[in-house]
Amino acid sequence: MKQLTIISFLIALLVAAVICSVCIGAVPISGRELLAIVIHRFGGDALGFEPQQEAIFWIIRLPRVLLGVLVGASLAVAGASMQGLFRNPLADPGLIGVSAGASLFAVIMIVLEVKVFTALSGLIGFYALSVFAFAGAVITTLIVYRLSKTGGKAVIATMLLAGIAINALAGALTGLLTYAATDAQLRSIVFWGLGSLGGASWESVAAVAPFVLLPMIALPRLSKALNALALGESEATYLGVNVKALKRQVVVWATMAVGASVAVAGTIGFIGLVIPHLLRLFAGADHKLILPASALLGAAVLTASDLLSRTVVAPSELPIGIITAMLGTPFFLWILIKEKRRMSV
Amino acid sequence: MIQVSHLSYCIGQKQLLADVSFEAQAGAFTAIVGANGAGKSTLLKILCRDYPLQQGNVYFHGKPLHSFSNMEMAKIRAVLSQQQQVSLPFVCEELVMMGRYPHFNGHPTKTDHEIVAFAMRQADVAHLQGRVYQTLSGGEQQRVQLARVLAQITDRREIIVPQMPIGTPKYLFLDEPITGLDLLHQYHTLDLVRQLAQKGYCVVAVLHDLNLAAQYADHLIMLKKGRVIAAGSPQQVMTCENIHRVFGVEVNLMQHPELGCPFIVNVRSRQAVCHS
Repeated sequence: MKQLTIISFLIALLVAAVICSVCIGAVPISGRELLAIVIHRFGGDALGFEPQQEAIFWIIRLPRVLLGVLVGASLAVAGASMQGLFRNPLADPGLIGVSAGASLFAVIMIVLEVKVFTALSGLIGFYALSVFAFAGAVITTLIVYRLSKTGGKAVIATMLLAGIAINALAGALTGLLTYAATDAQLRSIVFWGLGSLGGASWESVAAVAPFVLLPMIALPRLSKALNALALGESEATYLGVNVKALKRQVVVWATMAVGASVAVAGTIGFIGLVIPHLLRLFAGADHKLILPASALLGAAVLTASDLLSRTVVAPSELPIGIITAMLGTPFFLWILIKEKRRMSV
Repeated sequence: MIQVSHLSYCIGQKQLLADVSFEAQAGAFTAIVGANGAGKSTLLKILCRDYPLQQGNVYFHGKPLHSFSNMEMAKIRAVLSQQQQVSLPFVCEELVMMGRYPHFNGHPTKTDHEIVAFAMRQADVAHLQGRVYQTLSGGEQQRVQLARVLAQITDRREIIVPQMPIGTPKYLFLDEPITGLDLLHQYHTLDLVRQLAQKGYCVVAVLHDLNLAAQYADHLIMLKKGRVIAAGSPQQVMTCENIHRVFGVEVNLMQHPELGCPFIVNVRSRQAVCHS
């Protein structure tokens, strides 16, 4: 069966990306050593690896790779469902202000170093930034959603326009704050704005996991309704879909997933846009396949990008957003040109 | 059966429908005709619940239109709209399967697949099943949508014995279903719709071609500026006077050689002589 083949292939791809990613780095771990480390964890003998390798694997590499998997999966699933909701294959969670809102709030936090927040930092450690960024994502999306409501209905075209406006506003405010920032703050803003999995730890994985896993379970349940929505809002209603509830659910789950991802890893572009698009070329349009497949491919691509980001200029690191955009843009343009040719034939 | 009584509808100051009353029988093909902007689509959209019920009442089989849930409606009523853009690259078979969505949870059953295949044969699109919808011509797209709509309200018994009268009320609404189709498929579609009506479906269609409306429909409703000018059999409704009143055109009427229904022959000199 086609669906099964695609899913199995993507699972294999993800597993390969994860294994490469945990093995490659400043301290290389071979496949046999990796196996020995895992066996040791489950009660086997501590043979065939250096203790340093074990520490690096458990404390540094694995949480980072898992965070990459979670963030990649959530960005891609949110992107795919947003494209379904907006009935536009070029939509992106960024469109409704999730990323811009999170960025703005993070930058506020970094630049103003407000006393309240520094006090908060004491309480919840370095999560304050993430929590605040997440709040920013949710608030912006709420504003956009509210603005798009006319007569109790969220109008998709208005949502898009409101999203663009709010994005511009948030961008301007972020710019203003950047202008006022000190050099040290500027560096941290830039790094955050381009995304990085450098802050990964078991704590951050645990913090982000529920916000990613819940949407990952909830969104594929909306596959049928999202498919029907491709026919148009009226047509979906004729087929028994509660379009109003569908819109609300997709916005809530996508914001949750993307907000959490941006909060821990900064803004990472192009995954949400390119991954679902790429899959549709091979796997068709059915959300029942596209949503889980996007999660798998998004996770694999982000894991691989992170591997690149920390190895190409080792021992230094490139922000991961640079990698995804640099690889994503040419690829995306290639798709556009290809589509244009196909349409003109 | 659909009962519409004293239906009025305004958008802002503009009155789109004024005191419209009629009945559309189960087992009959009712066609709504009229000039552009007469309120035909508005009327259909109210019946489809796209537009709210502002004034007047609509009953489906004795039950108020808005007492049905979306899901209850979806199982007994299908709508073929004019606008048929699909935003994602679905394959035709997947698209027709969407018609079965109200009937299954999770995965489609064997029956759903059988009904999809049947509906695609009925709409003459079985050969397109593996094609991507967006790559089809306009007319083909329209027939695929017709197949989807048929799949939505066909049940298993109808595949086994196509001619058998249906037991429960079912409604089929079509907004200009033949615009954009070639001659063969215009006839084919209307034949199909007529057969459904004969099996007991309550069919309501907005049609532009008066001759085809007269040939296929059992009941005509003629609208002008949101009001019903005439309603009844094609013989009663299609008169020179009514056509002139509604469309502002002088015509000659003849009798269809086989069907006996009125048939319009246009008058080029604009000095019509009425033979009806």
